[in-house]
Amino acid sequence: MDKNRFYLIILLGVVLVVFLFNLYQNTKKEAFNEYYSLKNLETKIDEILYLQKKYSPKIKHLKKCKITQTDKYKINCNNLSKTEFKKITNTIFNSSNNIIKFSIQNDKSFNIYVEIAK
Amino acid sequence: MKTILYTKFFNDKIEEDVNIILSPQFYWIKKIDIPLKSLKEAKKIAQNYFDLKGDYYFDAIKLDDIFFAIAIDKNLDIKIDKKYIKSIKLAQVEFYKYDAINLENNYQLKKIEDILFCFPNHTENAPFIDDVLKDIKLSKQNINFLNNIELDKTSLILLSLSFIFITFTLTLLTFSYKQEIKNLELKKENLKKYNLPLTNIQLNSILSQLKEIEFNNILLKKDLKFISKTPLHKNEKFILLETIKDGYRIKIKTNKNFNNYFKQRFNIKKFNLKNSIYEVEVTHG
Repeated sequence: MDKNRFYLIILLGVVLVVFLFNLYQNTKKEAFNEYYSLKNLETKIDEILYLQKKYSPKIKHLKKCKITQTDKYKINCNNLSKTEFKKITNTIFNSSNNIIKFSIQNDKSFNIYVEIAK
Repeated sequence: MKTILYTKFFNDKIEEDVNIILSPQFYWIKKIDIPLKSLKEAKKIAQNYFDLKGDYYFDAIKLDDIFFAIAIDKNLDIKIDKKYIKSIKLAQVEFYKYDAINLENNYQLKKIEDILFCFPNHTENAPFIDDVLKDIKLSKQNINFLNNIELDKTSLILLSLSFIFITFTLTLLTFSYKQEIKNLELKKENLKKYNLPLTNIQLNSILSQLKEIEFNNILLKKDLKFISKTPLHKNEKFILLETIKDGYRIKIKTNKNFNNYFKQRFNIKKFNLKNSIYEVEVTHG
């Protein structure tokens, strides 16, 4: 075989291999980037969903209270007995509510005013 | 560039680039007498026209629609430094249009039945080689037997197989990664079902807001725990607990001052103790 032709074929082969290797490396890099980007998104979304769920308003069983809904829940509970007061404070404060503002008065009976973010 | 006719009696010292025209003394030539369509076919069968012992380079040429098979000894010793040889051509091709050319040493190139031979004696009225070389316009046909490489089949097959293996593996790997990228993009699309933006900046913003909420609520719980542990006696009780900016307002029915207790966690903004009511505003600031 002609030397020039042989070297040309070898050169073309090397060029093809280098090209394929480059393509492989770039695709691999892209795949890894895509993988880490997805994992990153998934982790953040999981964390957001967990916190959103955790701080979604939990105001059930507040039968003794007046609940007004605007961009947040305004909860008025007046003239509560000690038992009712304990039950309601447990529901509001021990659950993960996003409490913006509150006021608890204990004059003759208990009065509670709470603002919870929606 | 100088062009020379290389004959068996050539003994000039060459120290410049030259084009060499090989005399018929250095090659075998035969007319290919079967009908062929292309020079490629002629090259393929050229070897079959000779029964030569030794290592030969075989080729074919086409002149005036006639195909010729050629054989040249691969060990042909040209007494010119290879670095000066720019091309090697055949007298058959370059002098085909001449019927006879007179050479030195009383030799001549003579065409018999389309093939040039080298014979003793001169032909009368034939041009002299020096005159022919002066005006010669060389063809593009080169003989590359000096530039050939010997490859044994095993090495060639191994080389080709390695090459095929490498390219195949790389292509396969690239393809599998491409597929993986597609799958990942599909999974990313699936994340849209949560109705959340899919850019890191927007997600970070949402997450930081939620973390702030969590921080504030954990702080609130700790504050309430601390406030609820205020050391009250039986006849003392909380009257009011409410949020103010960065802190709380607390009212306790008591004659005692609880500043020392609240100072453990808060800063006292202002306080008041009168009519058996202790009132204090505490902040974190």
